[in-house]
Amino acid sequence: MNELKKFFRGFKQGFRNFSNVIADIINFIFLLVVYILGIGPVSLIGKLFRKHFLDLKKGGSSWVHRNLKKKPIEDYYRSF
Amino acid sequence: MRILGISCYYHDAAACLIEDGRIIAAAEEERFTRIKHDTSFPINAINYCLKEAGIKGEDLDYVGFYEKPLLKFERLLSQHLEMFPESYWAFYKALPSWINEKLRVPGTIRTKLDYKGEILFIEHHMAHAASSYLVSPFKESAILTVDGIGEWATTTMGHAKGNDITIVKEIHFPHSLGLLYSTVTAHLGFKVNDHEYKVMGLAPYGRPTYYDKFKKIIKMNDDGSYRLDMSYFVYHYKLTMPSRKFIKEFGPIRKRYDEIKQRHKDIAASLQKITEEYMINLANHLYSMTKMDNICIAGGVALNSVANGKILRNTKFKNIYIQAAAGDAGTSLGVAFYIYNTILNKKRVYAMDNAYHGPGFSSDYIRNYLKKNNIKHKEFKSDNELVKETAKLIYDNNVIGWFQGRMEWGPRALGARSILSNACNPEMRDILNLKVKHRELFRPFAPVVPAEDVFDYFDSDNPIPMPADFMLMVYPVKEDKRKLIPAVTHVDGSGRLQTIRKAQNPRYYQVIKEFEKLSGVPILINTSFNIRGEPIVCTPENAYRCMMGTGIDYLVMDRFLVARNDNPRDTWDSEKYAKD
Ligand SMILES: [Fe+2]
Repeated sequence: MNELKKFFRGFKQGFRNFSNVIADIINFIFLLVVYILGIGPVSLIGKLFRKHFLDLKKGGSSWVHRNLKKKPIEDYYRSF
Repeated sequence: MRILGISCYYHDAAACLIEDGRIIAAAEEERFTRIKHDTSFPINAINYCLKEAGIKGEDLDYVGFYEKPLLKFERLLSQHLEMFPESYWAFYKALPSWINEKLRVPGTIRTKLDYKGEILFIEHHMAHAASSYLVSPFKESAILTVDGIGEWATTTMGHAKGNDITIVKEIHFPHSLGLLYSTVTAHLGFKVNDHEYKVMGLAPYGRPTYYDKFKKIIKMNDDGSYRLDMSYFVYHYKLTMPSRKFIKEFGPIRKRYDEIKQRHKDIAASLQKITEEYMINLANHLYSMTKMDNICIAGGVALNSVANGKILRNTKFKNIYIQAAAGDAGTSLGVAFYIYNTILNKKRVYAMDNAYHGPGFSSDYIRNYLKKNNIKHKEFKSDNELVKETAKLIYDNNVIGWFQGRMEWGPRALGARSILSNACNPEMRDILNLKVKHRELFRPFAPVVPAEDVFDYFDSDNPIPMPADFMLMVYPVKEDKRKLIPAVTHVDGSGRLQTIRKAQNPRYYQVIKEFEKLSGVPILINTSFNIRGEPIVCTPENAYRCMMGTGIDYLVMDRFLVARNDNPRDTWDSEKYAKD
């Protein structure tokens, strides 16, 4: 009985590991598609028009002026 | 009115509950889960806060979150748009956690807390600014926040008056003094977002021979801003931090357990020099912008106590305030106070002058625990007996686990969950390392000194700033006193002191005073009460386990004294399991 239990426990663990590997592979492929089809075109179009999404310049002031103050409470309900 | 502030999913997750503008409870999640720097949703810390207040989630008036997740997500996408196609691996690693948790904050809060009210999202650096200013004693102040990264901001400058805070300007990712520090931390073979303080401790052993190289990497502008040369970094599109160019300039990355060579010490010294110079420059620029007497600082870089100790003497600011949890944990407190004082415009009624806001345990609880587990112990008859006997044990070079009252809020042990020992014994650093801490020999131990005695032993600012109560200021030990307290004097003659005032923690204060009667010196070693690689202890169970797994000789827990040697059956070797 114990041997049987052990076998099923091992089988379950092995199956779990296997399904994790499959999930990782699917994730990898799915995210690669999203990355290439979603990020890729926007990035390339941006580069074509010399648009920069990050400030990687080597010189000049890096201050971004904000004047960020208290806003109406509804503004804080948003997560952006 | 009850407001809960939450921070999580990046650095130290934490929760803070305030009621009518005063702190009821605040704690980091790591203390409950026993996972150092736990970033997960702080359900244990929240449950503790609610329990302390005797309420449920549904009784909260507001819940605040310490950042705007969608703004942060926008920054993440911008990184990948800029760095396509080199950033795929980072994209693949980061996106699932965004989809599974980081973009689902409102749902998680409502479900886990059974809360139906409003959730407010405050920009990360505003939460940092609020975490310092709104609990400071100041009515107006300049504010400087410097960390690794929030949504976009990494450094901000602003000012505050009454209840209102204004962030005037900020420096955006990828330019970040905090991330420069983390990059070097990684390069020196230490853990990022954890071991930055080790780099600070290593710095005094080196000479700043890499200073000019760092000046090439981080450029200071005349207007107070700074800029990184990003060809030295890869953190904006990879999971690692230094680039090949950085490695070419500074040598190969040290592996975690490799020997620390003079080169590593010199790099640490150069980085520390740069950090101090830039913090002072930022503060000076802030002064010229605001002309205010007071400065509040917050953000991970504000945990650099060596830099903090140099701010007042190198700027025109007269007063400084830094809250005990200056890093990301503190933003849970910041968001709660920002909602109460700024958004709802309620009067400021509180200044944080002590850090004891975590779980506490009654004498009855501890007595029951000791009895139930057949732990041999002695109960002191009076406080007088407790402090006298503890002081004598310390004077006799025993290592004491000191567990008293409510746990500290913030990363430092401040006399609630501390290990205390004799600062006058030159061997004590080695004894502590051998018995308990097992840490790198270059790291100094910290002294605790009554606030009224500080000027006898330290060349500190006068009056002593409140952040020294939270062990956030390093000052030189007076030259003629260094021989008296060798165990807490760092190689460069400095000490990362904690000042203590009687009202904050009478028992702790009295033990130091009793020790002074025996030794002539009112200073003890105060180091964190934890097993190497674990968070500071939280409960009596944690404390007893820690003592029995290390070489701590005695545990003074509330009014009970437990001797390690009296309970041999419970001994174990924590070093076998240390995760550091
Ligand atoms: Fe932060």
